[in-house]
Amino acid sequence: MLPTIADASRRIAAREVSPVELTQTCLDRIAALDPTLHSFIRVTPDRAMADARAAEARVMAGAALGPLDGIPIAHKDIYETAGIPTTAHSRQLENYVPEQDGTVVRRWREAGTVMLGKLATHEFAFGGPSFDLPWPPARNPWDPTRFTAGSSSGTGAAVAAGLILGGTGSDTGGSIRGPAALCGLAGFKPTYGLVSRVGILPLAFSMDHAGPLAWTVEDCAMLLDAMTGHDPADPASANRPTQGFHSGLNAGVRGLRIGVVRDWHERDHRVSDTTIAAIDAATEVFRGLGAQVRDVALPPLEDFNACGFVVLVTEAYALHEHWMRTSLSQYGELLRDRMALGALVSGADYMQAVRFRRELCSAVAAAMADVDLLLTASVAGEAPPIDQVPKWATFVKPSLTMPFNVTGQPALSVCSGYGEGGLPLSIQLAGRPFEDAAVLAAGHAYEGATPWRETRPAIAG
Amino acid sequence: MRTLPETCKPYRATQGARMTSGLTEAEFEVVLRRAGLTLDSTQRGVLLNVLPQFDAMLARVRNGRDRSAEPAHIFVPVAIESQR
Repeated sequence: MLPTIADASRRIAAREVSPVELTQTCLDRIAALDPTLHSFIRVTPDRAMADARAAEARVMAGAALGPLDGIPIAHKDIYETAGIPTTAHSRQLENYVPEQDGTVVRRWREAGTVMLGKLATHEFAFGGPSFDLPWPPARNPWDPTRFTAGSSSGTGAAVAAGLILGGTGSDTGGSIRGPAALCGLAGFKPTYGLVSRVGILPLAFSMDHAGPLAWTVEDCAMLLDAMTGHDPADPASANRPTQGFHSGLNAGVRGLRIGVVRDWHERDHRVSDTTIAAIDAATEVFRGLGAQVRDVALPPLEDFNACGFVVLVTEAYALHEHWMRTSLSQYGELLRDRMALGALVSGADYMQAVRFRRELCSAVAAAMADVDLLLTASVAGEAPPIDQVPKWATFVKPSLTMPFNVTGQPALSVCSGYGEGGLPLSIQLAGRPFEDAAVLAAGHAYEGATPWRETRPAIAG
Repeated sequence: MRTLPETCKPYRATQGARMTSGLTEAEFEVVLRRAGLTLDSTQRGVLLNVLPQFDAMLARVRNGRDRSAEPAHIFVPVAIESQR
């Protein structure tokens, strides 16, 4: 079993663990397990070993770059990597080789991380799970017949299986929190504007967020520390002082007010009974940690889902319009059909959705005058079979993650136990914009008070 | 004699037939052509099947709101700041 990032960091600093040996262990695990999991689109062993040797030399010379020096990671294949193909899991970009690293990729490289390769995604972070693309969809390490959720599917699978210690994701409607939930991880969508999107292939300009997935919230905080910072090249990048997310993790929840959005997960999108029980149990954990917990009412989940989906599909179509017109057959079926809906949205409809968005943001902001954090479900329950995922899931039940893409608030998915099928359950915590540290501290406190981080998928050994 | 541009020609087979989504098939064809999308009959069928659900979404975002309701840019920092 691989260590957490926090453990590995401490042991590397103490010269108890060699970055080279740790990286070789990851590469060996990828060779053994990834033919089943398909979490990687491309493994970069030469680059990884070069990174690891450089990290080891720095550590031995007492010149480590920081807590991530020598930590094996990988990037979702919509993150541009200089000299390494970046495909978006699509035939459209099968031969695209960026000349530069994106901002997050560069920042993680400068922090000393060891890059093991590029991870599977849903096509352009929107169309999946697809079986008609050049690479198969990632499989869930808890049960390879099950869905990982998406679109950061490869990251979710690779971290859960212990192939990497952490990785990048992106989240336009839940694409970090969904895979974190179904793969039993911590996945954090930061406040919109906190992490630069430069060099990340976009899906929807105003909804895209970049963030980390890892085994623990602490690991996410460590990764986030190396992701944030103003980036003038991203017009949405917030020009705020960088926070210490890892150093602030032990703030706890004593005195915090947590609002349970019960209507969302019990009425608007009724989740499994075991998920509801896990949420109720989590409220008791938070009470035991000193938080005040009560129910709150927010606009119906369907409102957020409709607003978010209309904005998303319209912005996505605008981005892909040229290829939709000229090389439609290069897309997989799922992406093509979902994206085509964007062609049917009028300018007035889009503007109405954006006006509606403001109303929803105001409603949530008003509700959060009385609570510091929101608590609800991340997903409906345990991972479904990968071949039974509906093409139009968004029309079947409203997404539980979309509200915080609409509002841009920070939101975290944390493992909250295991269901009747032995697969992970999850809760979702959200905070006010730019109060990311409070969300992470609450998630860290929850993990510390529960035993869920002690269980790994059997395949992870 | 003036001829209609290709994008304005009605879809003769089912012209005027109103679908559950509120769009006629002719209107649907015009929208597709205007978007520059060339879909085969299977792909059209997929979209037509899901149009009622998508239209329900659009109806939800079209709900009447005050003339002064301005568009969002992600969230409302002023409102949030004022509550602190």
